[in-house]
Amino acid sequence: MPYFVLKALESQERYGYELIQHLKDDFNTEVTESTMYPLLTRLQKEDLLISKWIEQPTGIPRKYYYISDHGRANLAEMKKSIDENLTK
Amino acid sequence: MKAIEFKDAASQRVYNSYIARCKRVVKILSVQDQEECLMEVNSYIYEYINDHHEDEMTGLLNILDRLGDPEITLREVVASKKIDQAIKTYNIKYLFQALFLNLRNGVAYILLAFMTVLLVTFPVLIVMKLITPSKTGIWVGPHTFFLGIISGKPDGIREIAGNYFIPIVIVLSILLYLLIITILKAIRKKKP
Repeated sequence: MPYFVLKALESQERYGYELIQHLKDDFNTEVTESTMYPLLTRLQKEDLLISKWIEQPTGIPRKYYYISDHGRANLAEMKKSIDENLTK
Repeated sequence: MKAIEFKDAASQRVYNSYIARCKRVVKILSVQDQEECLMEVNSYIYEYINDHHEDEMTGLLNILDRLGDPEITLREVVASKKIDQAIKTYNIKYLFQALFLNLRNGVAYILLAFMTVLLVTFPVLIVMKLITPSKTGIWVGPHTFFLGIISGKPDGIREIAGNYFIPIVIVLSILLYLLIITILKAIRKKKP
C-alpha cells in the first residue's frame, strides 16, 4: 500500500479523500478512510510525505500530501525491487 | 475545527456524536494535535458527503462506516503523535502515556516501558536512602551486585557507594532517561 500511495503522489499533491478515489480509479485498489488516515500519518512520520493544510471556500480545509525527496528515493527503490522480482 | 452543518437534525446528532467520540480519543494529545486530528476526520466526512449525492443520512452513515470506530482508527495516530510530544517536550508524563499507547507495537516498546519503570524506582531509592541509609545502597558480595534496599544483612555483602549513592542515582536517572529518549527517536526514524 505505501507503494501505491507514493506512486499516486509522485506526479501531483492530493488530499486524503482524493487519494482514496485516485487509488480506486487508477490502481483498482479499494482503501477505506480508516486505513488511509493512519497510513498517511505513518508515511509522514517516516519523512516520506509532507503535508499542508489548504483553506477552502467551504470553510472545511483540506490537508494536501506531497511526496518528499526521501519519499521519491524510496519509491525508486521500491520500483527497482519490483522490476527485479518481475524479471526473475 | 469548523463543524459540518446538516439540514437534517438526526444527521446532525449522528455527526456530533461521532465527533464527540473522536474528541474523547484525542483528548490525551496536545491542543494543536487534537485540532489536527479532528480537522482531518472532519475533512474526510465533508469530502465524502460532498462527492456522493445520496441523501444526507445515508452519505453520513456510509462515511462513518468507512472511517470506522474512532477508538480503533485513531489509535495509531494518537500513539504516534504522543511519541512526538514526549520526544519534543522530554516530559515524563507524556513519555509514560506514549509508551503505554505503543506497548502493543512491539518488543522495543516493552523494553522501553521496563526501562521507564526502572527510572521511576530511582527517586524512590533516593527517598529510601534518606529514610533508611543503612539499608539502601549499592550492594556487592560474592556473586552479588545490586542497587536497592536490603532487609537484614547477609554475610559477605557490603555497601560500596556510601554518601555518593544519591548523586550516583541522580546521574543514572539522567542517563537512563536520555537513553530512553534516544531509543524512542531511533525507533521513530526506523524506515519501513
